[in-house]
Amino acid sequence: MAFGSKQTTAEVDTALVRSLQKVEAGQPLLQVRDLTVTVHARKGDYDVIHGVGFDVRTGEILGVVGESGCGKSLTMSAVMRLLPSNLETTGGTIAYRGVDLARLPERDMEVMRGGDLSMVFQDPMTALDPLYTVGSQMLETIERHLDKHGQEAREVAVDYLRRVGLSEPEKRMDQYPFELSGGMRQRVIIAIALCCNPSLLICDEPTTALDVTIQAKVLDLVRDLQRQMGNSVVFISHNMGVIATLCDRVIVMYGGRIVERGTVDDIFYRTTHPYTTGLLACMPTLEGPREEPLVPIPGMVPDPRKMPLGCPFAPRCPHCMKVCRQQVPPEFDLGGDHACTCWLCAARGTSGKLLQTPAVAGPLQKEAPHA
Amino acid sequence: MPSTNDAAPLLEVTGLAKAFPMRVGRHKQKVPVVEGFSLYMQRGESVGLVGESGCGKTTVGRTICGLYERDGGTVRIDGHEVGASREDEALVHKTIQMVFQDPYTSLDPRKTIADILAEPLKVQRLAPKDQWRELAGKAVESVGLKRDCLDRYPFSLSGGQRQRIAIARALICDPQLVICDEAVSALDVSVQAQVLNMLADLQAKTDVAYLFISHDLAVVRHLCSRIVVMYLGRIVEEASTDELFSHPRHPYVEALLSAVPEPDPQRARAKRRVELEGELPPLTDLPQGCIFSTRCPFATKECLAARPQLEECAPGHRVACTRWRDLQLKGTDELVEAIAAPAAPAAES
Repeated sequence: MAFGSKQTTAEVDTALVRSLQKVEAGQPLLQVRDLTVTVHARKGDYDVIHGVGFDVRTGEILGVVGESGCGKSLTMSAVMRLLPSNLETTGGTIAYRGVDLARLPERDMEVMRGGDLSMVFQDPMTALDPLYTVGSQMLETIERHLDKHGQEAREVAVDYLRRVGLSEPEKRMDQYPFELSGGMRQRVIIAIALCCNPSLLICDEPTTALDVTIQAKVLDLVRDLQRQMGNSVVFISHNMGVIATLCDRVIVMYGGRIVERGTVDDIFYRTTHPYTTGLLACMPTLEGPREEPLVPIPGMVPDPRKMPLGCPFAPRCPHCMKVCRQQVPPEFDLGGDHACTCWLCAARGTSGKLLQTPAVAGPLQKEAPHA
Repeated sequence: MPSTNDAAPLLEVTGLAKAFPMRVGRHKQKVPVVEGFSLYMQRGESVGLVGESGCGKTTVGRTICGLYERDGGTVRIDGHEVGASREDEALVHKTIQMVFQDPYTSLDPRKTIADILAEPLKVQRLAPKDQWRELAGKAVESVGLKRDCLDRYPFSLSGGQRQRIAIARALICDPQLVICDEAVSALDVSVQAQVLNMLADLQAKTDVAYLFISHDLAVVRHLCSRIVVMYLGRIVEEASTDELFSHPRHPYVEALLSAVPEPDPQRARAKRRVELEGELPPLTDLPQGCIFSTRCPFATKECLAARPQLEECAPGHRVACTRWRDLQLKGTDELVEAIAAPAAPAAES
């Protein structure tokens, strides 16, 4: 707790919670604008997230997809203010129910985090503390955020363990993480994330470390609980199958930027960005002929320190044009929720009106001429 | 393609067993991790070995290539039974090579790529010293890398490049069988596709056989012509890929197929899930009778009575289930069509 502060935790809680605006269903709960994240390194700073903007609406599941190193997890860590110490949010706003999380004092952020906003991490083996029982880890969150104690808090915890489908929740409360399997641990983590009834749940690849049958159960669980409680979920995954199964809307990220966004049908059936097309084409599927070679995306994800000058995807893009290597494309509106950050949209003369002015290349990008 | 070949199979494994010492309560005892595993492989064939974590698929791979000593069963290479003698060990190493899951730990960080690739040549005395570099150069080219990476160290390569080096190291001594243990699981989808295509190309060129161990059914379907499914250390079903995906005979396999997420929203919405009850039982306390009986939606009293053996239900299709004749299990396409459009969940736009 901060020194010399006169307010008690409970007072901070209520003052902050009262200042949160009510959001109607379908309206944006979280509005991120121009989010920029910078890495402070010995050899000079460089950006890893370049002006990302997106909305999360009430009661929807938003998928975030892309290869590793494209900035999906970093963007969400920035929203939760959980960036590693050498990374910093250097620009943009994160408006959550009228409060800008990027500028919230850490003490207030602690009230939000775990209470109204919560997060499920990728690896269920390391996200729980091995020295404490499942129950004490759940109670920690409940006592901090719900102001419930003793038997009352325990009842909430048991109730949520039951909701996530764990057998014998009373017994689980007194077990240690090592006594549970991977799937059960991930359920416990989801229970901890949900027990304060957060309006926004961020899941960072929660099923990547799990087997398919358990993955399917966790996906069902996330969707069922989301329907029951009507909260919003951001689901980060690199697996297009998981995205197609679970999400309402999708954003595709590449090189620290959003390259395409839209409803799940837009992304899968009206695919516009060559990167999204590439992601879909290189996945082996369960249908169709199986001996045809896959169509891989050539090359690799660019190093954030050596970002190409124009479009980050240009060096790997089969449709790369001259302009792509010179200027970062703006976002083109394709109607409805569908938008794509690609010069092809301009070349094709799609309905496209510009959604934002073309981004100006930063100083670091000027230093690094493209290949 | 696999077919009835009169010649001795490249690899013939019968009744393979492996147990590891584990602590059960207060006592240490040997717990069987793999039991009664049998497999035939022809030259140039790709066989997939799938199952969930802890089902013993990695143990099978490692036991076959001699990284673990086997506790029972026989391994024959080209009809020659492999014993414990030095010559036999050399034969195994010459015929079978392995590619491991994690390209970050399977390459020695203190050796250059050229040294890493020369190691098998050195150990197996396949070529004189002055040819090592030339052969290593050819090997990196065969996996789609440039020769100039020979003098680099593993840390300067990306995950996909490292896995290519691991594959080049396995192929440099011209093995007849490469055991790929989750060889593409740690890679991103676009890189995974590059490596899968490369594996298929190399097979077309060299006629090498792959035993492809993976938990990813879509990857296995793409690469392999035959699939073996394991559950708790035992084979539950074995069939050609098309047969397994269209007509699974074991309830576990149906559940597995139903759990694979489809990268297509319409198919994903229409897909029926076969739910499995409960958790994987511990190896120290295996169920009586059929090992799947504790979670099987179709289990009856008979299933608890005796452990079903693998039996042939169609040519080349073996299943370890007593009830396969009565069950109408669904393949991937049927699972999707089971409930068509109406149940599409709210796709808000």
